[in-house]
Amino acid sequence: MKDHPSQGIHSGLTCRDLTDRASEYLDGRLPILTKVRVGLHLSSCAHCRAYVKQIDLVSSALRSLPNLYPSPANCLRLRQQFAARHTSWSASP
Amino acid sequence: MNADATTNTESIGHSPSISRRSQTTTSSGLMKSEDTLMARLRRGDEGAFDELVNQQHGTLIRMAMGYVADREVAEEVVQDTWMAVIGSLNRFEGRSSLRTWVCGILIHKAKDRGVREKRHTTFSAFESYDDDNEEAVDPSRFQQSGEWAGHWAFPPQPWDDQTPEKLLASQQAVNAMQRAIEALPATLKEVLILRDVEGVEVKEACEMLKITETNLYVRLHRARERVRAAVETYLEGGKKAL
Repeated sequence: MKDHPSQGIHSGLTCRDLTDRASEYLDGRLPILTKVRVGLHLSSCAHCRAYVKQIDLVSSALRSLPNLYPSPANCLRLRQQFAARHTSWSASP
Repeated sequence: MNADATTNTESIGHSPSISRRSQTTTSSGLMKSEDTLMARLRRGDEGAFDELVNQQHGTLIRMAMGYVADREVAEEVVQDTWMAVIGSLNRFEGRSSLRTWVCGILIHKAKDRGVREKRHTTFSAFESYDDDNEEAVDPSRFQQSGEWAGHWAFPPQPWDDQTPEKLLASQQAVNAMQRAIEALPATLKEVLILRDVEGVEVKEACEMLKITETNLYVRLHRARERVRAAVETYLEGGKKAL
């Protein structure tokens, strides 16, 4: 299988193959030979570079989504339950 | 922002960081910070319990939303989970991390609640997702035949000036991502939330979900691609509107 027409180096991967492995590549989970082939393909395919960059950007943005917190009333209720339960653990032999 | 990984997609030959968040694991299997938290919890420190709830509430709500119909029910499931955690914390032996243990309880309760709800209602999140042959990227975006079959026919347009910070500064972009996450089947949603939203390590996420690493990455990439495609649609829409 050839790489993109515009390039001279052949990684043996198509763009479709590469998109399937993009997350493993970004997370450093690919076996070394596959990583080299992905690297070769990316070095000469601007479209796949754009794709991998977009996946990385989205993944990073997801990490920064706002945290969710319980309501103060639920927090208080849980804390009271925790305190009551701990008292019973302490009391038990 | 994972600057290392971004850089490495452009600079071939460097290995992206394997772990985006690293913690030290003790011999008991607990993270060091969890070990300290656990000791405080055993002493009955209410502040430690607040910390635990605040740290994990977001993960639990988002996970629960994969199985039940709405936020209100998800809140109930999470509340039930915390009650179960309080009830059995003194029996927790630390064979898994505290987070894995709590998430395990949540998944069990959320699935159970989801099954009960399913008897009364139907909606997309309940649909099981087991199509192993589905490709992450829409196949029609690639050339179907000829010498260059499998290469881009409709490639992604570069998001030249986009950064995670810029994306998150746009409420519309955040809404597009949230909607895409909400529309994911439960099996894709739970992986994306654990790994990307909450930053849970691969091994721990596999333990929580009882799946292999290969399976995790298949699901994770499909989920990331759906969110990417939603952002792409949002950005393309913006360009067309200009």
